[in-house]
Amino acid sequence: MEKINDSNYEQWLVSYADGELDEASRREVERWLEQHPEAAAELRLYNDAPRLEADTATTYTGPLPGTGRQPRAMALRWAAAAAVVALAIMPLALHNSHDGNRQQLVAVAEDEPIVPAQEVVETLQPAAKPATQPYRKARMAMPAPQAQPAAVDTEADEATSPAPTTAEETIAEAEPTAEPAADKTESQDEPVYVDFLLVEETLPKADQQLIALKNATQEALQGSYLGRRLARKMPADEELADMMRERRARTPIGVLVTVDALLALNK
Amino acid sequence: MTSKEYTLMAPRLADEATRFAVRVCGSQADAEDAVQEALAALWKKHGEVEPEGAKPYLLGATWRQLMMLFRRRTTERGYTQSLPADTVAPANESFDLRDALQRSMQTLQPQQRAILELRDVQGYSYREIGELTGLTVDQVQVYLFRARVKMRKQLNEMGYGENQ
Repeated sequence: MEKINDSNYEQWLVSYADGELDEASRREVERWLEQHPEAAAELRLYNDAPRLEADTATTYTGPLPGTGRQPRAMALRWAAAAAVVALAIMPLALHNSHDGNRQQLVAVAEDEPIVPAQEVVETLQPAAKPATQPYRKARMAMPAPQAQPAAVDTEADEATSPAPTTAEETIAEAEPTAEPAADKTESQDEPVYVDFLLVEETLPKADQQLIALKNATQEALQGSYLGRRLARKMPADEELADMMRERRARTPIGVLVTVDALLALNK
Repeated sequence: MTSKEYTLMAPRLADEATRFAVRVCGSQADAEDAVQEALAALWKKHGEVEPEGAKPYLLGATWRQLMMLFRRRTTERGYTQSLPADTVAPANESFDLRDALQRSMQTLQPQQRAILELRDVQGYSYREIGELTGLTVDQVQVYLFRARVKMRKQLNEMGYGENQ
């Protein structure tokens, strides 16, 4: 490197500050600095300048070419939809674990009685306890189909309900110790029926919270790429009706809300 | 680098490249655009890039994208940086030190901001920074020297003395 002078002193001073110079070069730089106080002042500023720190809060939210990963914002919207569904299921699970009521929402044959919307609301009122139970427990808390109508499709039933013993254990485990006794003993073994095909009519009439839940689900699904795809894949109302007449699956309320929202999106 | 290695590394590399790009251009949206293009280039060439070379490759590609952006904007709108230059607040106005650092960074040229980030945060040598940005080692050192001196001066003017 050329000797230190007015035109190259900056790179010399960087090497000097980094301690990369040999003894002879270092002495030469120091002699030059004595004759150039302005450069010496700059060197002090250089040494005293703050060093940058990593900005770990900044992340990449766009798509990742080659990996198929969608933008993170889109994934978040889908997570919001999933959260809404989980919230929808939670009141039912809390209710079951709270008062031991073995009722649940089931899809029934057309000739089975339809419970008025008000009773659905009562059944869905969340218990006054923290919503800390995990989603898995919410599903496990679904009781065995003891009072299930004969028309329930067995294949679908197996797919959506746990073994009776497991359900019993889970309910017992989830039962609070100091909660007051439930006042619904009369209807303890009677299932609450909601005709799957009437979900769209029943939900809006049932409760403002459910309407809000349905709207939130619909909004979340609308904002989600996967939600929009799902909506497009939903059959038309008549086809869905036919399909559900055949299946008659026991269906958690969260799924009903989601299907309802997807149907609304598909219109 | 195999496809699997790329898939595993891409999210972390993308975050790092975005931090670098935001530091250089000051805009998350512009940074992500540049990183997305750079990622596409890396994905295209992933078979030729070693895993340990993936990060420098991505940072270099991001830098080139940013330079193209600056050039395009210079042509289109007549300004050279997305950040305001030489806009230092009066010394009597008090700022949080973090804001002050941010403001002093904004007065630097994109090359200076890039070099500071690559040196201080990424820990690259002058030679590596030169390879990444297309500058010589001498240029890198000069840019770095001037950037630090300018930053320190700005901070002093904002009331953040050398001992703060």
